Parts: sequence; C-alpha cells; structure tokens
Amino acid sequence: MGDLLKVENVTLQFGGVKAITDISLNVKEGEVCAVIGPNGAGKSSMLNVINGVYVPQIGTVTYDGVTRKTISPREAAISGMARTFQNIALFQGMSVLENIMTGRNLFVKSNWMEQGLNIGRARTEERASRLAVEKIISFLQIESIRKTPVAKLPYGLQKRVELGRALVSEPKILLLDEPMSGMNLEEKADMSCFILEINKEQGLTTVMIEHDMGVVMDIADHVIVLDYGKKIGDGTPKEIMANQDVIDAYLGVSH
Amino acid sequence: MATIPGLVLAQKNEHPNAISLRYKHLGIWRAYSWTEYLDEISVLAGAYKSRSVGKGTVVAIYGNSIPKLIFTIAAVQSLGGIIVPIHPEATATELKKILNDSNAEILVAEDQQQVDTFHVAEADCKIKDVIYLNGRGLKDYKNANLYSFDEITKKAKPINIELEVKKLKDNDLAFYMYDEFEDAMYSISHEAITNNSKKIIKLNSLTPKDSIVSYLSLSIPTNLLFTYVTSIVSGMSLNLPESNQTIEKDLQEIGPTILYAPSFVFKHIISSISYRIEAATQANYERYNSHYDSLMKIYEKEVQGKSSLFDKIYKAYIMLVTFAPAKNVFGLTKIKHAFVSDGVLSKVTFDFFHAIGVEIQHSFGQTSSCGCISVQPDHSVSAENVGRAMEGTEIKINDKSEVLFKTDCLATPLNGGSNADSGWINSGYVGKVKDSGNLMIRGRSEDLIRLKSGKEFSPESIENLISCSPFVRSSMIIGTNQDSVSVLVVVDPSATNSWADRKNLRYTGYTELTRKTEVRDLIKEHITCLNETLEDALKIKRFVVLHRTLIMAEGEVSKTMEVKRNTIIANLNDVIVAVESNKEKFTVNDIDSLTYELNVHKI
Repeated sequence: MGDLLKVENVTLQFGGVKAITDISLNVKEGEVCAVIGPNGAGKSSMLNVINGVYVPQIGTVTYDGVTRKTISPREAAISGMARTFQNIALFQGMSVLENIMTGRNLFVKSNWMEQGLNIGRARTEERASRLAVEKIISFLQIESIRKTPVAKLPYGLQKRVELGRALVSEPKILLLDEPMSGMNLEEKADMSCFILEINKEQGLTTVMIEHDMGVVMDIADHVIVLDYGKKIGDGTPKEIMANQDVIDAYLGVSH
Repeated sequence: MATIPGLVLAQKNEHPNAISLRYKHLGIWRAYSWTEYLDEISVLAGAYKSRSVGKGTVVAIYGNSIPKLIFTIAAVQSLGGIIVPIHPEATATELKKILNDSNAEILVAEDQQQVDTFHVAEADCKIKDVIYLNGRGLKDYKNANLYSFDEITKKAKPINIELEVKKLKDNDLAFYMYDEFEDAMYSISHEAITNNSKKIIKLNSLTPKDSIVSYLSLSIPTNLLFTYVTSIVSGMSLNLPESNQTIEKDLQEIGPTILYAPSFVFKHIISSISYRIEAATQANYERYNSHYDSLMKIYEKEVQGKSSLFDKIYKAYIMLVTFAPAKNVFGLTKIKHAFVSDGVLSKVTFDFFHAIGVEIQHSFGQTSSCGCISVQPDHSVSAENVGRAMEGTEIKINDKSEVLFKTDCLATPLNGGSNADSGWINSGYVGKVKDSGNLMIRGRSEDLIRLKSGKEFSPESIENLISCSPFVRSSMIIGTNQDSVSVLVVVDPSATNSWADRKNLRYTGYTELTRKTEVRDLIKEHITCLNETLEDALKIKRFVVLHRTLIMAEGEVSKTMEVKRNTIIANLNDVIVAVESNKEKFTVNDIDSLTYELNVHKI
C-alpha cells in the first residue's frame, strides 16, 4: 500500500511559540496510525495542520497524491478527511440522528427552497442521507438513543455519536482526536472495536491521537511519538516500546 | 391441516394482503403480507433443500427474533425438518447440550457472537453447516463449514410450498425445545402445539386484526406458543422489536392489542413510571400521587361492585389527564389482553394494571405441556391464581401438594425430563386448586425452604413482594435450617442510579452505589414495610445488598430473569455462609477473582 498522507518538514509557529518543529511523517493507506506524546507535544496541532485549520509556516502536506501548502477545512472534508474533536463538538440541543445527519452536509446539492418544500432533489437526498445515517446508527449500536438530544447522553456515547458523524461523510481518512478520553474500560473496549472494525472491514485509514498506551499498543499498526513539537519516535508499537527516547519522554529523565 | 407451513398457506389463501409480520429495520417499520411471507418461505425452503434439509433434518436457529430466522422455521418445517430454537445468550455448555441432544445438523446463527460461541462448543457436534445472517466481523473467519445466509438464498430456486405441505402429517415433529430448569429436551408435534394455540385463541377471541409484540426469544416454549404459533394460527400480526434496548419505544410505536411478557416487563413499566414521576416537577408529582391514590380507591370499590356514578366520572377524568398519557408512553393504549408468562405478579402491580384498564391475565405452563396448561379467562381474573385448566387439560394436586396435570397437547421428553405417571405429569411446582377450580401456584417444589422451626414456605411468594419496589431488581430468600428469614437484594441499576442522582449522592459505579448508607436505608424501609404484611415466622430479619447484578451468562438468572438458586448459592457461597453464621461484615471472593467487602444489615 502506498502513502495516503505525507507530511514533510512541517513547522508551525504561534508568534514566538513553536508548536511543531520540522516534523515529517507518512501514513500508509489502510493503516491505523496512532500519534502519542505528553501534553503540549503538538499532537492536536498536527491534526489541525493536516485538515487545514492551521497553515504551517514551513513544509507541505501531500494527501491522496496532491501536495499543497494551504487547504480550507471544507476542502479537506470534500477531499475525504473526517475528524472528531478532543472536546466534543456536537450540537447539544439536537438529537443523535440530526447530529449524524449534519455529517451528510457535503452530499447535499439541493437549495433551501427545495429543502423547505421537500420537493425534487431535496427529497431524494434526504432519503439517501437518512439511509446512510441509519446504517451508521446500526453499526454503532445506538438505535435506542436515535431520537435523544445529545446533551442528555453520557460522555462515552457522545464520543460515539461524534464518530458516527465523521463516518457518515464516507471519508478516505479518519482523524480522531482522543476518541477515548474520559471513558471507562467498557466504553474504551467498545470504541476500540468500532475503530478496528471500520479499519478491517472497509480498509479506512485512521490517524488517532490517544493517551491510553494499552489501547494504542493493541490497535495501532504504526505509532508516531511527539514531544515538545518534535518527532522522537516512529515505528511499529513493538519498536516504540523499545525506544529509549520515548521511555525518557514518558517516564522523565534526570538532567 | 394443522402443520405450521400448512397454516401459513391457509392464511395466505384467506387474507393474502393482511399483515403477517412487522419488523423495524434501519429505523423504519417494514411489513410482510401473508403472500410475501409465503414467498419468503418458498425461497428459503429452496435454499435449505440445497443444503440437503429433508424429512427429519434438525435445524437449530440461534439468535434473536428476526425475520430471516422466523421464516426459517416454516421453511425448514415445510421440507419435513425439525426446528430447535436456541436463546441468543445461550452459553457454550448449553449450546453443546442442545445441539447434541437434538442431533442438529445445521445451525443458523444470527451474528459473530453466536458463531464464536458455537466454535467454543463445536467439538463432537454433528453440525455440518453453520449459516450466518449477519457477516459483520466474520470476514477473516476461514472455517470450511461457514456459509453466508444471503449467498445461499441468492442461488436458491423457490419451492412450491403447497406441494410440500401435502406431504406433511399433523403428527410430524415440529420443534425440539430445551427446558432450562429441567435441563431436558422435549419434542413437540405440529398438532400438539397448534391445538394448544387454538385453545388460547378461542378462550380470548383473538382475531386476525390483533397484533402482538415478541418480547422474548422463541427458545422459551410459552413465548413460542403465544407469539409465533398463535400469530400463524389466528392470522394476527407478529411485531419484532428493533433490538432489546429499543423495546419500550417499539411498543409505543406499534401499540399492540395483545401483550405477552414476563413479569419483569410489567414491573419495569411500574418502576419507569415511578422514577419518571419522582423526577417531574413538584406540581406533577403531587397530582400523580393524589390521582394514584384516588384511582386505587375507586378500583377497590369497583372490585367490590360498590363504585358510584361519581366514582366513574372521576375515574374517567383522572384517566384522561394522568394515566392515559402514561399508558400511551408504554404502548398500552390498545391492549385487550396482557398475559404474564412466568408465575404470578405481586398484588400491587396486578391491581395497578387492572385499575388503568390493562387486564393482566396469568397463565401457567411448561415445556412438557407445549407451553400452557392454564390461563385466566378474560374479565374473571384475580391476583392470586393462574386460572383454570384449559380445555382438554386436567389438573390435580398430589399428597405432597405438587401440581400434576394431564393434557392432550403433550410434548415428549427426549432424554429424561418429567415422566408421566399413569398419564399424570408432575409439573415440579407446589400449589392448590381452589373451590372455584382456579389453580394457585406457590412455587417450585425444589425451592421450598424449611426453617429450623419446621415451618415450610415458598421463597418466591416473598421475593415477589420484595420486587414490588422499583429499586429492587431481584432478590433471593435464604433460611434453610435457620432461625429466621434473610434476603439477598440486587438493586435495580437504572431506578437507583436516577434516584441517587436526584439525591446528589456521589459514586463511581454500581458497586459503590450499593454500599451507600442511603441505599441501605431505602431497602431497609421497604423491607420493614413489607414485614408488617408477613406472618411472624416469615418476617425478614437480615438483608444483604449485593455488590453486583446477577449474571445470565453465569446461569444465575434464567433467560426470563428468574433467579436460579443453586447457581447463586455456588457462586456467592461466601455471602450465604456469612449471613448464616450471623456475621456483620465479611468479604466475598467473587467469580471475577476480585474481593468485595459486604455488610449484613439487621432489621
């Protein structure tokens, strides 16, 4: 499999603060790639660079064979990138169904008049979208909360809904920012199953930021370690476990 | 003609366009008419014929009630095959026993969970083919005998069911059923089960316009009889919920006319109402409580035949503003008959449902009687009995107070099972027949508890009373050879969680919640109240709030949520010993290899 995503020599600076310093990384098509590192290592910034929220001062991102320096988040979504956020970014007052439905936004071609009157394209699009959403609901086993407002759901389920919204846009690459933070063991196991299943059944490439090393070692094919904006490790979970720099970064080292 | 496929054919000829089956798929209710039902069966029969299913072939269906499995039953039977329904949560040991005892050759499994369980139980089985319905997660399975249901049916040539049905005889075997409590397998003929169903239809005047929701797995004999077989014999529609978690919503959307559910479902409805009401605004809370009191007072007068015109008008008013909306939420608005599948409901639960116009009817039956030997007839129901013997059935009580019965719809034990003694079969329950001819069940004879004083009683009757509280999920009475009665209580997670949240209790999980003094006081108050209604010798003196719920996969509760005493005694032996040796604090080494600290509370 070739590289679906290639980040080359990216440096990102906010004023005088260097969030990312000269980082290069490759993500192969069909793999689960985990990005790990202590707080402030630049992991979320890296995802933001990949999907165009931040524009790096130096370096390029090659995605699906196209090299570019800037891309708007909408263009990134159109090109098949979907993501979830560290702090849940759902519409709290809307139901699970409606929230996931917003993930179909890119497939809507009808205008507001057609939608208001529910005629022509709007009708067929609505049906196709609802079908896609229902398939995701069934996949994530959240049938019983289909019509529940998101604000009423526990944290673990909200994370699942967010994953659903990302999946329903039929992405080529999934960017997950701490999909398991704040979850209990059972919820983590469920989430890991979903991520692995999507990857195995549909071959969907996944880049995931995660702190839980157990989860990372279990489900990732490829691990990238960042520390203070620099890449200190890149390899299979086994290689990373044996990497002295990574051990030092996590356990601390006397200076 | 009394074979199941024959009756499907008859329904198709009589009401070709009436709805036979409804199920929810991807959020939308879809329906099959009897014509479509027959078409599906003819395709599936073709598919199963291609897997060499023929006369006497045993096919196991292992999963929830979903259309493909439902159609499989009549399809296999039309070829002369026999169906063994297996509960989706059956453990590998149970599965192995069922497959071996029934000599099943084909296993139709719902999804990965069932396929995996089969692979654990596989050794020594005669299964040739495993056909799965949902291929999710099975992509990398390399087993040679694993086939996709869709692929097999795609290649199938439909079969003329009419010709096949003519080859069947009424006394051909239709099902093999496994009885969890007796650990025995029974064979049931088409004639026996359809005749039993006809009696239920006649007794309750069921029509093709009725509809029923299938709550439980078809592996439970009474459920198979009341829902699946009765829908085919009477022509009423069978509705399948989307998943076990969505049943409440599905019931509301369907609004069935017939409800056949185990007692925990009725109890769950009451607990849902009470914890929702407690979370409501003060005004609504007070209105509900005052209306509830009035309703129960009027109901008492109604039972005695003393209700006045004013009572009738006032009841109509409180029904309109309070209880009709509550009924609607749980899909009870159109209910004509509601049957309790297991045992007897507590009087409080029973009276409440009757007061709001849901006429619950008790029934009693077993695998050996094709599901049912007695049903309370409509409008002559009482909380304490399970009705009169059905047509063609006789009931008598032997000198040990055990209930014996004779019926013309008999299931035959394959290996072991209850043996008929000069035509009378021992039900394994104790009870009595009242002068009115109604049967009263006290409990399983093997469960009876004898105190040190020699006093003998049925623990189930007290457990039923304890379970009246919305905060109690299940309970188990202990006291064999003891001075007094004690009880193990499992608190209901959802009701207790929401109560604790309202009280601003802080806890991290179920185990910690059960250790809270507030929860202990809640249970203590309930038991103290209940003790007032019990005779002195049976008053509960001690109780333990268990640190976890009872686990079906460990065999601690049956598939219908009845407690299985022997397994609980084995798994939680530390608790029993501590209670019996009068300890106050003790530790338990549980089956998860962790140690928990528990307390025995005195009343």
